[in-house]
Amino acid sequence: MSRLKPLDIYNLLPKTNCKECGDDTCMAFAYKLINHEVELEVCKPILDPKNKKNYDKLKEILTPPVRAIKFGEGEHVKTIGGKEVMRRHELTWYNPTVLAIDVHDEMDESELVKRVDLITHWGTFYIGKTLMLDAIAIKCVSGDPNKFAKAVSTVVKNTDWPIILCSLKPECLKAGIKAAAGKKPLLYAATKDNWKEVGEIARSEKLPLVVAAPGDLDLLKSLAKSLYQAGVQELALDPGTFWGEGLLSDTINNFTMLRRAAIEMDDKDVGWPLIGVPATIWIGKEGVSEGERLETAFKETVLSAILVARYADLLIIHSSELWTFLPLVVLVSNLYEDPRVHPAVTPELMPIGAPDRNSPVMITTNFALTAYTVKSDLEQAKINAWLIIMDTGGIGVESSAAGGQLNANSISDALTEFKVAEKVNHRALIIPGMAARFKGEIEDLSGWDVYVGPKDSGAIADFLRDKYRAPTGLKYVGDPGKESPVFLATNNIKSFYEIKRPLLDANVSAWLLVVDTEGLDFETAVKEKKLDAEAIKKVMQEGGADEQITKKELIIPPAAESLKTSIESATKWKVKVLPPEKIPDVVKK
Amino acid sequence: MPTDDITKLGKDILKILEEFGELELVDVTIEADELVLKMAAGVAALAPPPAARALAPGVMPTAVPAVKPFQFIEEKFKPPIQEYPGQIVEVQFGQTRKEGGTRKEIRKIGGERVPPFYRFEYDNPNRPLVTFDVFDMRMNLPKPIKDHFDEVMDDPAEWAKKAIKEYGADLVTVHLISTDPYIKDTPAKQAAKTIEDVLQAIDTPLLIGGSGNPDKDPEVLEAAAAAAQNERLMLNSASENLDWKRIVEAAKKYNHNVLSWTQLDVNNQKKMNQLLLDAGLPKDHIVQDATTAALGYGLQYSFSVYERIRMAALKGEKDLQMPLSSGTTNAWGAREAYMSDKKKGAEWGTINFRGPLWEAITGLSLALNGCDIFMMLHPASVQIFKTVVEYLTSKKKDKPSPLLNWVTTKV
Amino acid sequence: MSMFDDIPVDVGVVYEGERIRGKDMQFEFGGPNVEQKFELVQARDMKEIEDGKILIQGPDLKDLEEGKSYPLGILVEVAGKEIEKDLEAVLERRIHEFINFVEGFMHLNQRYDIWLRLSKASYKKGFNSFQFLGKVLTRLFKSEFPIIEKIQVTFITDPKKISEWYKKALQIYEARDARARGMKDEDVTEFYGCVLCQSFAPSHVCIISPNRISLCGAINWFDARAAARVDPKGPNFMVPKGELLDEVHGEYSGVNEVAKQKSLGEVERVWMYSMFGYPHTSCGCFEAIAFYIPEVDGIGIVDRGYEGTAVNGLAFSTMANQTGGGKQVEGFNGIAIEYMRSPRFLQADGGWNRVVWVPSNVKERVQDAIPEGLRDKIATEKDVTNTTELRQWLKDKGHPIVKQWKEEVVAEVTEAPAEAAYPTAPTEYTLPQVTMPATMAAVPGGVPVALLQGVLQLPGGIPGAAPGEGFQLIFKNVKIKVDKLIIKREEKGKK
Repeated sequence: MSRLKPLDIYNLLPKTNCKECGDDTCMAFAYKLINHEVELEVCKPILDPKNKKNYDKLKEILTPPVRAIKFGEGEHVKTIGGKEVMRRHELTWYNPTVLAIDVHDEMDESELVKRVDLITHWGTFYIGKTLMLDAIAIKCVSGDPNKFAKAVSTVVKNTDWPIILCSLKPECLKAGIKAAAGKKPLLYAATKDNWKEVGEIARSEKLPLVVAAPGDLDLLKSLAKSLYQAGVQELALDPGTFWGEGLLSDTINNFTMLRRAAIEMDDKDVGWPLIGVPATIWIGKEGVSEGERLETAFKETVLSAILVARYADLLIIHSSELWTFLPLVVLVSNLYEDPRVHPAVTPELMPIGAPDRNSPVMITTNFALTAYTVKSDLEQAKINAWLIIMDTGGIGVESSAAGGQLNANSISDALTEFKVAEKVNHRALIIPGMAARFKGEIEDLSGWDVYVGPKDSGAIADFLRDKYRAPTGLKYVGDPGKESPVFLATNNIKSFYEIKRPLLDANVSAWLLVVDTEGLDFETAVKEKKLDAEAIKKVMQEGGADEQITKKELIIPPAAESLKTSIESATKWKVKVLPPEKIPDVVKK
Repeated sequence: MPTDDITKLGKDILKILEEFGELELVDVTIEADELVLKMAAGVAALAPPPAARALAPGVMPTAVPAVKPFQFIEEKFKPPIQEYPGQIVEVQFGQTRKEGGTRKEIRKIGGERVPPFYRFEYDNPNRPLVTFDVFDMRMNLPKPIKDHFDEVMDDPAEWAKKAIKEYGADLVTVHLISTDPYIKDTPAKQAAKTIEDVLQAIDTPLLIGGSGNPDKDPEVLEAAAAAAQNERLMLNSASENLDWKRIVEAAKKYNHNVLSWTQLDVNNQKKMNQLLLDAGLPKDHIVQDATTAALGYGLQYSFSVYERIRMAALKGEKDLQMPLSSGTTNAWGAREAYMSDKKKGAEWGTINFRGPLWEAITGLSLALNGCDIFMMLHPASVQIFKTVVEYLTSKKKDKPSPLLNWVTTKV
Repeated sequence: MSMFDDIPVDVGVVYEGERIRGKDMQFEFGGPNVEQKFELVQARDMKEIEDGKILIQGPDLKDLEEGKSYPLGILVEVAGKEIEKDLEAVLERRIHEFINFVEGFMHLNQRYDIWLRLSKASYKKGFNSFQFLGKVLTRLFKSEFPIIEKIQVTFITDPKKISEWYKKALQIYEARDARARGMKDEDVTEFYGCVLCQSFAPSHVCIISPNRISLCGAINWFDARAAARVDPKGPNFMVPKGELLDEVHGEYSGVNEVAKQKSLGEVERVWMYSMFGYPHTSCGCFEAIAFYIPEVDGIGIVDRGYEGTAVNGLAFSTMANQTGGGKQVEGFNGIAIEYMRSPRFLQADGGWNRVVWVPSNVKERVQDAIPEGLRDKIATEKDVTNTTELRQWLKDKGHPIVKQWKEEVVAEVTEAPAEAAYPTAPTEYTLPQVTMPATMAAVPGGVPVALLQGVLQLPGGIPGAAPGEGFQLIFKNVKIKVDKLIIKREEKGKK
């Protein structure tokens, strides 16, 4: 829940509803401001000098306790910081952690270009979008301004991506800035030894500046305050990324304290984005063995993940393994997802495994977690099925069943929308256990048969094996009378609908004598003697077939042909063998 | 300003203007009792008509701050220390001979008074622990794990021993998978024997998991509880989808801990805990499992639910003041964790690092939010996890390298 | 479930949605073909009933004719220390669910609208007596509500007996409704709290009183009371009113105390009847949002199902984001639609007199709750689409809110602004600012009052002024601060 309240913001706006900003009302604009979706300056009337007092007040209120700073240019501008709360569940975390990978000025040109290429082109597809890295940190290893300038030139020639110029020497930074003309790089860094000169550069060039004071929060706060007072407008803080026994504890303590001081204790001096440098783990690791190199990269990845979880707004990373990038971009994507928004996946008819026309049809909601879990459970159980992911606004089964987004109508609509009837021979829909109460209504609306599945998708495999069977007994299609035809079926879904489908399609009335063969299809049931004359007779008796039907002829498929004589003998009914494909001909008469 | 001065000022201005054409004054203040501006009709400035729907932000003419000198302002950073009305109970695993059991080592979790690793406020008494997952039958596990345990996978006792000796597990969880009626339907009695065997083989405490089959688990856990009387195990788990009352009874009778399991819902977790407490289970015999969703598959929900539970507990919510547990092994359900190099190596990197990273990052994210005990599977993830925990909780401190040297490190 | 082993058919949640078609039905009870049918729960003294007794007044199932429809009365009598009259409706609502759990037994609607069917299949399996249904109800009620110490179920199929009971039942329903309608917050000593949705909003707690239903609309004071009785450790619990601190706003010391506790300190004061000051918090499941429309100083209501933007240009979902989350947000309040019927509806803010816009479907639903004189004066989306139109509409209809609007004021020219501290560097603005009518006309929808603040209004030119004539601006007590003042020489001959 935002600390900013709509009325508070609204009262400071011009309140004219002039619509210049693109919103119909100032109230609507106020909402956008609260969500940091628009800049205040999009409102022209507020820029009128007579509104300056309100403008200033709004700027003050709208400035988050951890200020936002920007670097980079054009479409590659990156904003970091801008945090409103410590814990993401209190509102959301704005401005995902920027991941910057390093290069340096003692790499030869081709090596440098290759690395820049890797950084800027790597991406992974994840829930509908491509996740990529964000920026390049250029280190001045040489200490030579010319060399550094050359490296910076090479980088900017090969990419438009935002860059961070890393050097503690003012002259190197100056050279780098010149070489990166117009790119608005982030400067690293002002320290206790160079802050005046570097501060001067940042101020005159109007560039954002990182303040680094490893392990010394007093110094960090002092430098930040001093620089800000002197006119450096955009800062970021590097409290030091230490790795090691006790040292790691200090690192996350410092990050935590700085973040809490800014947000919960109103310490404006430290209300700046936090910079983590997991790349520090490589100090002293020049030229190590391949094994140690990989081990260090592994540790750096873990360290980076820890910092993402503990408030880092930007990370400078050295490792460039694929398995470094992958978990980090996914982690950032996960933690920076807005917890207030129901994470939804696109509604669709999703094939699981390799479903065919006889595979089961299941339905679930498009709440991301539900959809993933169900999908995963089905895949793990190696089930081939059609999974309808229906639109419930991203709300899960239990809540949407209670809230109304999941109801008989919406389920029936989903069947139509995704043309499920064209994909399968049967007309059986499996619904989640929590939606049991809609069964009858769905059947009435859609004409499909509904099977109530388990509450938990983990039990689907068991359900399909043991419970997914057609109801047995003397059943019917339409409204049959005493003279209507009678068809034999088993409670195996495939076999059942082999008979029922043609009848449904022909829109006729007929009886179905469904025998419990423990879910076995015709062939197997006959072979294993689960389908025999006795079983058929039993069903006839229980269903009162003799009383209800005068035309005593049972139509059976060729697969059960061997039973013809025994059935006739046991039931005294006539038996006609008819291939299911011929059913339409028979009933048309 | 006296009139003479104004006249002089005016003359000076004119002089400068003649020479330079333009005079720029900085930081000017004009004060007057009265100031009159004469406007001629038709000359009054017109504000330009508003551009049609200009959505690009305009520029508020901001004052260019005066160039100030760089002056060091010394400040002291005040550590933002807070007080918390609540505290987490401490839960013990295992009982020594003196206490009536046979464990040579016991383990404790919980007891926190401040949020995780807030050492600037207080040093929480117990560190996060790792319990290695062991199964009572050979399982089809991802290759990196299988490689380490292949020779012992047919003997849970040996498996457990190896996990502790070679891979530093703090505890072991034996999952009695084979008792599932659809797998081997091992009778409860036999499962109990397996537990006895493992207890004999190791000195550390043990956690027991059923197969997940809600009809069979109560029986199995009851038998295991009886067989391990006085060893203070944890029975995994009590949840709303099975007859948890039986598990609670067994726990009370034989003095074991119970894992209170719900699915990513703070209210439901509270409710489940309350049911267990009402049934007479002591508070310090309960550990909460709010469900762990893997990185990339919902980690953010676990992240926030665990954080909310722990923070609420510290703020005084009594029914959430138990330690937290994570089925971190769930991370292996992620495709990114288990897909082979053949299939996905070129895109995602080698599984040798990818898999353990997936598990380690899932676990550590939750450790940072208050989780106390972690069920894990891969030696490499366990190792890095324990290293990080050591680094985070040790009272010793390594010597730091001059950190800013990273800039000139040539790697 | 093993507690139903003696029932010839299965009993379980999985049967809840079953429908029995005409062809499959053994019997039908109630429904559109039968005039008299009812179901009723009655609280009794312990002495009055026998626990577990199941009575059948009239023919039993096995005595009935297949395929026919019959009248039916279901009477469930309960007794127990914690049982009281107010719980009857809450328990009664569960009959529907419990009967549906029986395989092959369908139950629709409630009260005097019930419609039941038993399937042929279940009948053939042996479900041929109301005894079985009675047993199911008895066991489910008892397991779900431990406060029921004794329960007795009677099925009435004798038409004469049904007639007698039916009349009584109708009176009982009416009495209940009247009581619920007439009940006021001052009539009770305690309210009830609900934290069912704290999963979504940790600091939220609903305070439910007779005049303020939960904002999800699902739990009224009676429901909450029953739930608190049944499950004191559950999400519903008693909230002693304490002292009445403010009658108009509805502030009670007991409520404040509980809010503080349950929100872990986040919320300290609650005004039950206002959406300003210390409004009741919201979670995320409110049925509607009451929102303040500053342009007309009125209140609008928008419901969850409303598509598109409300009159203030914001959609329900947008406002919901800021309304929920368990914080107190002035001017935006989550409410239940039923709350609009309450005599205390936004009492401190003006009640219905302050309401200016409501979606048409909601207006229809609560029509009878709107004071007659106001019904035509409250706009819907069919009448206006934005606040400018709304303002005009309210004026035209003479809505009482119009009387509250302040007079439009023109700024005085001779007053000097206390500060005029703007630099002259790159600027489109020159001092002083003058707005000409051309610009005013460019503002769509006319000139809202606010625009008139502090801006000099000049018609095109100055009426009556001859060319060359002008006017003077006299600033008193002036302090002008500029960062840069540029004095430029004017070229001779240039203008």
